[in-house]
Amino acid sequence: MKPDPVESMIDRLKKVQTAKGIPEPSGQFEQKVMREIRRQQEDPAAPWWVSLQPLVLRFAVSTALVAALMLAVGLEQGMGPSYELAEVVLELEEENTLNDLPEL
Amino acid sequence: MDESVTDEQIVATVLNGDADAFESLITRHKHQVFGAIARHVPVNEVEDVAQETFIRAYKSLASFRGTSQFKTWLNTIAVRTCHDFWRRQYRGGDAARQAEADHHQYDEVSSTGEGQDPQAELLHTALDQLSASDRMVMQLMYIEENSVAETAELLGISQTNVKVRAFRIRGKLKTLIEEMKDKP
Repeated sequence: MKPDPVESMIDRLKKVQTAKGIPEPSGQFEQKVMREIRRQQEDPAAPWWVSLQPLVLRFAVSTALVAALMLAVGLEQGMGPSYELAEVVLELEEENTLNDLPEL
Repeated sequence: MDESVTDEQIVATVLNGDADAFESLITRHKHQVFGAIARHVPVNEVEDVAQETFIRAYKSLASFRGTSQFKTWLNTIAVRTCHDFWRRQYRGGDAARQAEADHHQYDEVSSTGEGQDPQAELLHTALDQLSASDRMVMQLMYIEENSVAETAELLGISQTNVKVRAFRIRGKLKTLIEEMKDKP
């Protein structure tokens, strides 16, 4: 039976990984780690919300841009809730005025 | 630190305020951590990732409940640190550079002395096509032969996620092999 090509590829990767070997830690590894731990304790990282600041800023800018774009398109087309409302009011007024006309 | 003192006792000492006692845990487990990390990241990155692993372990020492062995707990942190390493590389667009470093290692150990090995080339291409998480799943499941449950536990993802990724990886490898066969 022909071997599964995927299986033979994985087998090959296993062999390569086995032969790759493991690097030795440097002589001062423990001291290096402990130094870094102490350094981080003395100089703690900024609070988590600081990392969100660029994200919030980007969101605010993009929202403002979208709003400006929508407003521009709305003005261009003469649309918008206030315009539509005014149109309805005008229509109603017109209707009422016509209704109010005395019959000739 | 005395050999008869258990890892759990050292953890308790550190948590009671003797931070320096953590150094003996590093001495005890550094070779195991280096071994675990070397399977996932290029050789030149192993020491940095190992350092990050021990720093993370120190910071989350209070969450070690002792329900599993300390070395098992540490191994999980090492695997997740490797996962984060690859995620950073992909995000920063450095994955290709790291993959290149990996290629050199594979070339060195798989060199047949008869020029470029087509199988090795295929392996490189396959690894390049995987995402950070797929790369980790492939290593943990197919190379290290962990079960779906163990892989999910190590990576902190669901078993369904692991199964989907494993299925997708096999598909990708199969397609690649077929493509390579079709090439003149």
